[in-house]
This record gives sequence, C-alpha cells and structure tokens, in this order.
Amino acid sequence: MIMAAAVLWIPLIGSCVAGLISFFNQRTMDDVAKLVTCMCMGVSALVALDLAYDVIIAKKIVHGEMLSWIPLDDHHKITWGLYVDSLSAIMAAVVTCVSFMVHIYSLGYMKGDKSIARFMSYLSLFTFFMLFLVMSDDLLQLFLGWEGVGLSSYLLIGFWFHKDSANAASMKAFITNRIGDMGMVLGIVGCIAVFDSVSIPEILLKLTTFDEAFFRLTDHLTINAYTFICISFLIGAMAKSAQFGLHVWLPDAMEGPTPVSALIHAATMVTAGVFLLIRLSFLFEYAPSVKTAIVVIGAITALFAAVVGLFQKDIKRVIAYSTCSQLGYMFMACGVSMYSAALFHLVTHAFFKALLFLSAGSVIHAMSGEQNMRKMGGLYKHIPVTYALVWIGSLALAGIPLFAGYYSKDWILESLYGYAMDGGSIIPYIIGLSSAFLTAFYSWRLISLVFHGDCKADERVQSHIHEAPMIMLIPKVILAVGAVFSGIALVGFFTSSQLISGAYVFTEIEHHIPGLIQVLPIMVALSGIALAVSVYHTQRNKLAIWLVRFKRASAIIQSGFAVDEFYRKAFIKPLQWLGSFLYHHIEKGLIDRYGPNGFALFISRLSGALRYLQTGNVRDYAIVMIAGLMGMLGYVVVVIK
Amino acid sequence: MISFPFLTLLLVLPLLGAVLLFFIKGSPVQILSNTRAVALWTTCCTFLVFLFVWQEFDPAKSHFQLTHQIPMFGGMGLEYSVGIDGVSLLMLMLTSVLMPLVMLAGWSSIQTRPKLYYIALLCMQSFITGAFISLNVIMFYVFFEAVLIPMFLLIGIWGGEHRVYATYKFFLFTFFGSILMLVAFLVIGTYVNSFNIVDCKSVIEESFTSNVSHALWWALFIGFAIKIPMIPFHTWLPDAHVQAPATASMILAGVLLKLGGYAMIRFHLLAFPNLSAHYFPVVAGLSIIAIVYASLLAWSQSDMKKLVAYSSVAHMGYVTLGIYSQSAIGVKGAVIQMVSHGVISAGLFYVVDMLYRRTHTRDIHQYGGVASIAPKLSVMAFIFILGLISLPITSGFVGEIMVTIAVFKVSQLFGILTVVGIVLAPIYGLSFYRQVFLGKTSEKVQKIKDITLKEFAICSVLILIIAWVGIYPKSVIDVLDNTVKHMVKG
Repeated sequence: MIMAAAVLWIPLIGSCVAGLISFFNQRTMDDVAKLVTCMCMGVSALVALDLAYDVIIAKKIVHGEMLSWIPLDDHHKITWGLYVDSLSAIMAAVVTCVSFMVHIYSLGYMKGDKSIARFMSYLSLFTFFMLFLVMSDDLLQLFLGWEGVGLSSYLLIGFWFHKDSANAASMKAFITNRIGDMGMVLGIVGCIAVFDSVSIPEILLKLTTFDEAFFRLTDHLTINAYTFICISFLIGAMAKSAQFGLHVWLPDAMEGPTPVSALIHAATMVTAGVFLLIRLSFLFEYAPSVKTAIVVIGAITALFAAVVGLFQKDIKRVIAYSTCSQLGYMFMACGVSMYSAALFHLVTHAFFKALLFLSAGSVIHAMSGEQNMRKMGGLYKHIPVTYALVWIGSLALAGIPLFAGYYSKDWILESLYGYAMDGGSIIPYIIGLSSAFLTAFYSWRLISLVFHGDCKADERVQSHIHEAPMIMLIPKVILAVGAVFSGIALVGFFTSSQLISGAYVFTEIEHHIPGLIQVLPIMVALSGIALAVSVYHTQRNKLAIWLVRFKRASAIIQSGFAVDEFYRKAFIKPLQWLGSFLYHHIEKGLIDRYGPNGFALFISRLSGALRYLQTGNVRDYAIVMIAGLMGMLGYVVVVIK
Repeated sequence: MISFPFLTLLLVLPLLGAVLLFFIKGSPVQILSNTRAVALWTTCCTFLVFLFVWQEFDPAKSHFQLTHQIPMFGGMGLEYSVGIDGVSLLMLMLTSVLMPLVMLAGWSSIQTRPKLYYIALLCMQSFITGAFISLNVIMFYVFFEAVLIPMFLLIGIWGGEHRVYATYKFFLFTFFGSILMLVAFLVIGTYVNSFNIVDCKSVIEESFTSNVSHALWWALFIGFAIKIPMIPFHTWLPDAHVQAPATASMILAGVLLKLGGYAMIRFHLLAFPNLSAHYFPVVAGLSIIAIVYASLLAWSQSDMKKLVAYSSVAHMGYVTLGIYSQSAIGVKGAVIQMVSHGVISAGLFYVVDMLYRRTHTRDIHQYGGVASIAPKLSVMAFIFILGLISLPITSGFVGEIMVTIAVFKVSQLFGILTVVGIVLAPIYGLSFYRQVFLGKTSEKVQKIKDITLKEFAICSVLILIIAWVGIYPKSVIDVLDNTVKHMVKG
C-alpha cells in the first residue's frame, strides 16, 4: 500500500514544486524545477517497477482506502482508495517509465523555453492523474483521473498559448473528450443504479450473482442495464482512445510540444480507453452486442486511420494517425475477448510509439521546427542515430519478427482469425491484415521522405541540421531497447493464462493456427515495406503524376475524409446559430417582449387610455355624475320597485 | 436549557453595524475610510459569531436547533422565531464567508455615497441571514422580500448605464412572484392556524381540495422559481448582473439566488412532497431545458458578466433537479451545488471585476492574451473556470454527480438528458477562457497589472473552499445527513 501510494503521490510533489516555481515566476529556480520533477519521476518509476514485480510475481492485490469521498447513503460510500492488481501494476510501470524518459528528453527539447518549469509541472501532473486513473479502486475515482488527464492534455496541447491553432486544438481535444465523459458519467450512474456501488471489486463480486436488470426510458422503451452501461463506457473509451467518430481531436493535438505527443497522445493517455475496456471486461462479457460493436469500431478505426496516415504531409500527423490505427487493433482485441493481447500490444506500442515520436521530435529539432515531410529528405547522413532509431521503431510498428510489435500484433491477428473460425466474421481479420500492410507502407514512406532523397529545405535550415544532444538521445536509446526486446521478453508472461487477476473468468481459447496464417502477417508487412521502398525510391515521378490525377480524392483523404468539415457543418455551426437564435428570438423576442416589457407596455397603454377620463372639464364630470345618478335611480325604480 | 441566542446575534449584528454607519461624520475621505472599515469589521465579527453557531450546531439532530422565540402580536402566530438545520447552516456559512470577501473586493471601487452603500450591504446581509434562519413563514416572507430593497438600491444607484431598466425588471419579476407566494402562505397559514414552519407538514397538501393544493403548489413554485431563477422567469438575472456593481453581483449570484433553492427545500419538500413528486417531470424538463438553453446563451454572449449570469442559470438547473428528485442524495447534491455555485460564481464575478477595473471593458472581443501579461490572474481565473465546468476535485463536480445519480435513479430518461450539461459547460467556459486569456495580447490588455496581494487573498479563500468541498465533501454532507433524512422518504 505504501509503495502504491508512493508511486502515485511522488509525481504530484514534483508537479507542485515546479508549479509553484512557475507560478511565482522564479526563473532562476528553473533548474530546481527540472531537477525535482525528473527525480520524482525517476523514483516513482523505480518504485513502480518494484511494485509491478511484487504484484505480478507474488500474485497479490494491493487494495486500501485513503479517505472518504462522497457518502451516498449510510451503507454506501465512495472512497479515495488504491487498487493495484497486475493490470494496474503493468500500466503504472509503463506510464512511469515512459514518463521518466519523456521528462528527461524534455530537458533537452524544451531547453531555453522560458516557461519550462510550467511544462515540467504539467508533465508530472499528467503522470499523477494517469496513475490515479490506473490505480483507482472505484469508477468515480477513475473518472477523476480520466478528467485529470484530459485537463493535463488540454494544458499541454495549448502549452504555447499565444498560438491560436494550439488553443483551438486544445479546446477541441477537451470538448471531444467531454462527449466521451458524458458516456462515462452515464455508465457510472448506471452502475450505481444497478449495483449500488462504484467500487470495481464490489461490482465484480455482485456480478457473480448475475441477473437481468433493465432501465426504463419511456413506458414502451426499456434497455438492458448491462448493455446500457457498456455502451456508455464504450463511448467514453472511444473518445479517450480516439476511435473513429471521436478521433478528430488526436491529429490536431499534435499542436502540442513533441514530448507531449509522445507521452500523452501515443504511449499513455490515449490507451486509457483500452485500459477501461480491460478493467471492466467482466461487465462487457455480459453485453455481447456491445462487444461486437467494439470489434466493428476498432476495425473501422484501424483501417481508416491507416489510409488517412498514408496521405499526411506532417510528420507528426503520420504518427498520430498511426497511433489511432494501432488503438483500433487494441479495440478489436478487446472485442474478441483477448484482453491480454490488447494489454500486450498496449505495452509494446507504448515503447515503440514513444520512440517514434521522440525521434520525430529530434527530426523537427534538427530541421529548425519544420514538420512538413515534403520539405525534408536525405537526413540520414546528418542524424544517423535518430535514423537508426526510427528504423527500429518502424520495424517494431510494422511487426517484423524479433521486434516488439511483432509478438503483440501477431497475437491480435491470430485471435481475430480465431474469432472468424469460431463463427464470427472474417472481415476484422482481413481489415487487420490490410491495416498491417498499410502500416508498413506509411512507415517506410515516412523514412523515405524524411531520410532519403534530396533535402528540400532551404540553405539556412540545411546548415543547421544537427544530431540531437545526448540528453535527448539517451531516453530514445532506452526506449529503443524496450521497442526491440519488450516483445520477446514479455511474450511468455502475457500469454500465460489468468494474467489480469479478477478481471474476467473466461479462458482464452487456444486455436490451431495453420502455418500459412502464421506467416501471413510477416509477408504482408514485408510486402508493404517493399512496395513503399520501390515506390518512393524508383517511381517517385509516376507517383506524383498519379497524385495530380486524383488530386481531389487525395485531398479528401488527407483531410481525414472530411470528418472535421462534416462536424463543423452538422454540429458546431447549427449550435452557434441556435445560441444566437435563442438569444435574439426567444430570450429577447419572446420572453422579454411579452413578459416584463409587455407588462410595462400594457400598464403604460392602459394608463394612457384611462388618462382621457380625466379631462378636467366640469361639464364632462357633471354629465358622468348625472348619468350615474340616473342609472342608480333607474335601478331602484325598475329592479327593486 | 436556554443557550445564548447566537442566531439572533447573527441577525442583529450587521444591522447594528449599519446603524453605526449612520453616525460617521467628517470629510468625504474620512467617511469613506471609516465606513468601509466599520463594514468590514462588522462582517468579520459576524463571521466569528457564525463560527460559534457552527460549533454549537449538532449534526446528529434532525430537527431545528438553536431555536429562539419571542412571542409577538398577541399570539396571532406572528411570533419571532429562529432556528437552523443543516441546510440553513450551510447557507449561513456561504453568507458569512462571502460577505467579508465582498467587502474587501469592493474596497476601493466605490467612491460615491459610501455610507449608503455600506448600509445597504450590511442590511442585505442581515436580511439574507434572517431569511435563512426564520422559522416563521411570515417572518421568512418579510426577509425574503426585504432583500430586494438593498439590492434595488445597489443596482439603482451604483449600477451601470441601463440600471433603471434592470432594476425595474428585477423588481417586477421578483415582486410578481412575491405576491403569489404571499397569498399561498396566507392561505396555508390561516388553514393550519399557525405560521410556524415546523407545522408545515405534508398533511397540508391533503387537507385542501386537489385544485386548491395544485394552485398553492404553483403559486409557491413560481415565487421560488423566479428567485432561483428558472426558465422562463430568468431574464431579470442577466440584466441585473450586467448593471450591478461587482460586489452586488457577487452577492446576487453567491447568496441571493440560493434563497429560491432554500425555499424550495424548506416549503415544497416539507409541505407538498406528493405534489412535488407529481410535478417532477415538469420541473425536471424545465431544469434540463434551462441547462441546455442557458449554456447555449452563455456561449453566444460577448459581455463577460452576461456569460457568467447565464452559466448561473444553467447551474441552478442542477439544483432544482436535485431538490425535486426528492431523494436524499439529490437534495444533498442540490445543497452542495448551491454552496459550490455560490463560491464559484462569486469568484468568476470577481475575476470579471478585476479585469474590468484594469481595462474598463467587459467585451470579450476586446480581450486576448491576458495570460501572457497577467499569468497569476489567469491561473486564478482558470481554477474558477475548472469549477464552472465541474471538473472532479472541484466542488461543482460533487454537486452535479450527486444530482445526476439521484435523477437517474428516479427517471433514467431524465438522467440521460441531464448529462448533456457535461459537454455544454466546457464549450462556453473554455471558449471564454480562450478568448480572454489566451492567444495574442490585445491592445487593451497590453499594460495591465498582475494580481495584487488583496485580490490574491480573496481568490485563494474561494479556491480553498472549492477544493475543500471537492476533495472532502464528507464534512459538508455530514452536516446535511440527518436533516435531509428527516425531509425525504427515499
């Protein structure tokens, strides 16, 4: 418990120290901020590794309460607690390790930035919230971490807040994620309605006495409670993990500094959705229709993002779409109940994708801030170490044997094949394979465009091209070690059964995989590489002609199939219009006009009309008086008699 | 055992301060410095008295405590009677914490007629306190309405350009509600033959014929809904806020709106539980419309004060939802939401005031890039906005999630609709932050100063409350627990 608490809170200490230094604008103490945050992160990472070792080897679960949070009623309380099982421990280890590397890398990357203390503070704060997310014992607390990482992501994307594009991107990220949070909240309140609890172990316990529960929406419409809860959580997971439909924020999030992209938008935060699916796998097993939906969404995302990735010019956007696509793989794995495979891919992906992003950062650094790949080229002579590291990352991403990605991706593909053999559709497997081909293709497209051919940058930029300093290289080398060896080292561990303790009780079915199917992914990846190399080294001119011929199509694909444009036209503009319509026509035109103003007008008109009675003329008054008298007299005479 | 009447002291102390202000004489400069010193010290003393009240309050009891009665008017039922339960205690806390801060906040911005200004503020505090502690319906009504007078003066004398229109609108709306309320109170009072709140029991709604009790429910509801304010009775609020001086805005949003919610809990829940349950779909529908409608309107505003005012309407939607869900969690959530909104909106109005004093404009489009010129001010504003969009760890989240839980249990459909606010709040909250604080620095803000120590202190106190309620709401909920259990069945 103490160790778990230490892993969690130490990054917060670092964040607070750096945050205070930044708040009080003590530029002279920047070094202290850097030192403290990195040290805290280092300590946290070490303890997290130790904790993971403890939890996994000894197969024990750390569970403890810290403080009471929201008491629901006398018997049910929501508490601040920690819950570390093997899943949390693995996540915590990955998060802290990658975060530590990124912290160190940032020292070099952000050198000279006048608000580096603020940056380090945000990074540590993000790590804290991410740890909070993975180590929480109840859903509401998980939601806190969930929102917390969203907040840190908002702050970090918009770190350079004088840049308008960065501000727009950060807001977009936050609001898109909030759509998912809507689902999260619904899932949480649904759990409370069904289980009277949000504690994950307690829900698991109560679920063993499984019975059907229903939510009544209207008199005629009821929905299975588990399906409802799972759909809600799925929406949450989709937003966080940038699945198709809610993915629009991720490419834009690349406005943030590159270390942020590596840590948050590749290795850790975006995997939170997958983590949620794995964490609540026991619930999803009761909602088979939602699981099918997960497979479909994952497949669409994997293919869509890979296709869009092919057409990107910006080096970071290529990798961002690639992340999106890989998350699609993880979703597919979750959808076919291969949670261990999803987690395995999550871990290996964290290493090689962080490596790719940090290398991209070095490239951008070398190119004086240029991100357009069309303006790069021939860099391998100038920055050989980064070149080698990109190769390693890409090989791992493409799933070449012996590199990390091979083991996890291959496993996912095999389980998709198994899914098809078990009566499911074969389409996910085919999509998985074709995405693997595209992945290999766009990776080598990136390498060819950036590192080979002639340099297209101008003279001034060219003269500045330089290899990154040691402080940026060392973290990348360490991550590269992970990208190479994490697969082969952990494959035995992940494939052993019952890895995710308590998470689900279903044995993962072993399939007999024919030999051809086993080598198919490798063939596909290699052919993708070969095609990319041949196209970009020998057929570039032809390619250019083709691109011109299909200019419009390629522009649409490059813009991500115009999903952004669609959202702007279908949602944002109408909402804006509705806002001003309501203000001018309902608020002012209806309520105010016929409410208070109408009343005031009515009174003034009425008094205006009544004013004519007061003529001030004695004769008029006398007439009225006589008329009244006559009336009364008549009344007495005629009616009363 | 007769304990010291702390509540009466709480009520009288600000009035005493106000009387004292009458006797201040001297040159205008002296008057200014003396009046504000006296006013500040009075509110501070009131806060100390409140601490005693807090100390004396026993959360284990479910009925009214610290009661103090003085029979008056020959036993016509119009006696002076005060007492508090958990809900009133929290409302008192909000009032007595905010008032000294409000005094400090307006320290140097009021130069004309300071005497009257501070008298109005102190009277207002006394009246608000009176409304929260009254155990007599008529006394409650008198205080409830008396609050209007100082507010009317504050807006009418120290307000902005269109203050006359705003005050009349404000007065027209609230007075319309008051008349309905008064009639309802009189009918109930004469029927029960007592004006004591304790006698307002659920039997009342069965004692009348159904038409009459429905009419009574609506009369009270409209009266309360105008105060809180709820769609479509809310249009006085943005105008009043825009024209009011900053201090008045802080009180208006921070405390005054809570009177409506408080009265709903006090009268509707106690006297009309069945009818309130019957009308839950209506109220829930209106509240959800309010959340969506006000959020969209807040988004389309260019005046910062209007934006915050509309966000208040949206947040009060959660309060009504929670109250009329008639479950323990919902009512507790509603009270927490009231406390939280009081602090957050006061903070936001203060932020707007800080900006206004520096640039003399409230037009969002004239701002930009404040964060690069005044980073500390921006951090403070950002924390308040986080509360506004109810991020977890802030108090706003606790209130909203509790209300959502309660509503979802009562009706899944309304529960689903309630969460729409989660998406809408950041749309207006963050676009406000982006336009004002981020981006390139505009001309107007080039030379502004960062936060001063006084401003920093005020903001920190408010932020501490937000964080405290957000992280450890148990301390607040414990106060409410027994009170609410006694109030609702579920």
